[in-house]
Amino acid sequence: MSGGFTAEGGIEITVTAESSRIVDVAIANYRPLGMTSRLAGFTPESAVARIVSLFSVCRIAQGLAGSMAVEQALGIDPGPSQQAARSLLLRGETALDHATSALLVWPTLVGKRPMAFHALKALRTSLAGLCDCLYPDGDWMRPGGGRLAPDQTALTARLDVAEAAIEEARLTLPLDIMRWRDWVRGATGPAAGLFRMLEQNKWEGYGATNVKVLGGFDHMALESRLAADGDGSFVAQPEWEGEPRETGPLARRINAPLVCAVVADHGRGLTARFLAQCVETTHCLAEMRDLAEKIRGERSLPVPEADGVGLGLVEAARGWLAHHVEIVDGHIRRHQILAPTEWNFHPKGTLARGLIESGPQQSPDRLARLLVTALDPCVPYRIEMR
Amino acid sequence: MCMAIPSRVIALHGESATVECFGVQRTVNTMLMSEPVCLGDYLAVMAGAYAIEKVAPEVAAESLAFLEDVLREPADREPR
Repeated sequence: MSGGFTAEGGIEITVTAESSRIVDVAIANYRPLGMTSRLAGFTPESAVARIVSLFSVCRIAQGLAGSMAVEQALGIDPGPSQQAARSLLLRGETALDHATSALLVWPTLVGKRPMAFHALKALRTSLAGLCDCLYPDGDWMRPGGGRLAPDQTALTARLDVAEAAIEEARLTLPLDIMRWRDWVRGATGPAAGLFRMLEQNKWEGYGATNVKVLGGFDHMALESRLAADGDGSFVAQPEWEGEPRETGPLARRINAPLVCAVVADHGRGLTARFLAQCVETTHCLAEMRDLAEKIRGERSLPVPEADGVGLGLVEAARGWLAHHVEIVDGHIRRHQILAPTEWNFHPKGTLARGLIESGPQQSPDRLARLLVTALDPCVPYRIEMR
Repeated sequence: MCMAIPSRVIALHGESATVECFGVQRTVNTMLMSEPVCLGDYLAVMAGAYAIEKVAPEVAAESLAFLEDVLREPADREPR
């Protein structure tokens, strides 16, 4: 397999340190980015279905971005309930993704083993089952929207279970800075343990950079960039207005008061990045309840046989995810995916600059792993220290 | 972003299993599975270490055939 990774590929990060200072970071991306070229010749519906079968952690985001690209290309405009249902599913996936990292990976960063399998299993079962509460035929990813027939009782029950699981896993934190500081010093659980370790080592601000955050896109400009990306260099190493950008939970929640306060104290470093994931998990659950109230039954819209070009853009757990399609004679001619991993792990992007700009440190290898985890490539990675 | 390569269970060890995919074997934790895991099942594996769901055999076969085609392309074996 390429680069010694298994079939899903991975990221190889080579860190060169001199006298405890990181002086160079090389990032080699072994992900099969050309995979979507094999979707040429598929019908739009079958291409979206194949995408859904190829992704696990970000399946909802991938499926919906693909579906929305097809809809834009073919002039389909799903109604407000479909939009609300999709937003709810995306938030559910985001909350699950953040909680999974916090419960499975964060304990290992402080030398412990993951323990909260019961809470995580409950969370997975409740949130992964949200699709069934909204789309009984399992066609949530269908371009034009699936048959939307919400079961509000089941939906509320699943959100209750998810909230209880987040509470059981001690991922619910105070959203006021003073109370949060007390919580970090006294609470149990993987999140408090990680924040406490960062505070004790004075690593709260490690990895802070001024790489601009990717707040949003000019859709036409992004479409043009993707349309002109014949060799795949843009989707492999994306830049915006000539610069690498950062996308993800910190970029999205940078204005949340608690995140804002921590950034004011320590910059956009480790604590702010991990904290943004916790804050977002809490916000996602509240937002899902609001969205649930807006969802009514809605039929599927037909998929016309037409030609077109379309862009689907969603906020996935790790940041902006774009799909771009060209449809000719009822079949996909070109399908591209621009994923958040490629923004955050750009060779001159947030990770590389965060490591290089942080100055001399006693444990550069441990800090490199912490920063990679905070940015979370979602794919296997390897760090080589030189 | 993480692809779900279906991996076939070739051995069971309590709360873990040995799975195989494209000739590569690895041990995965099965504690997040919501249903019993059996020999021969195809599993979706998260972050290379945790099995999260079963994949229907026909879906697994289609995905593996698609990915085999992807992996045959030399351009996708080079780093970007």
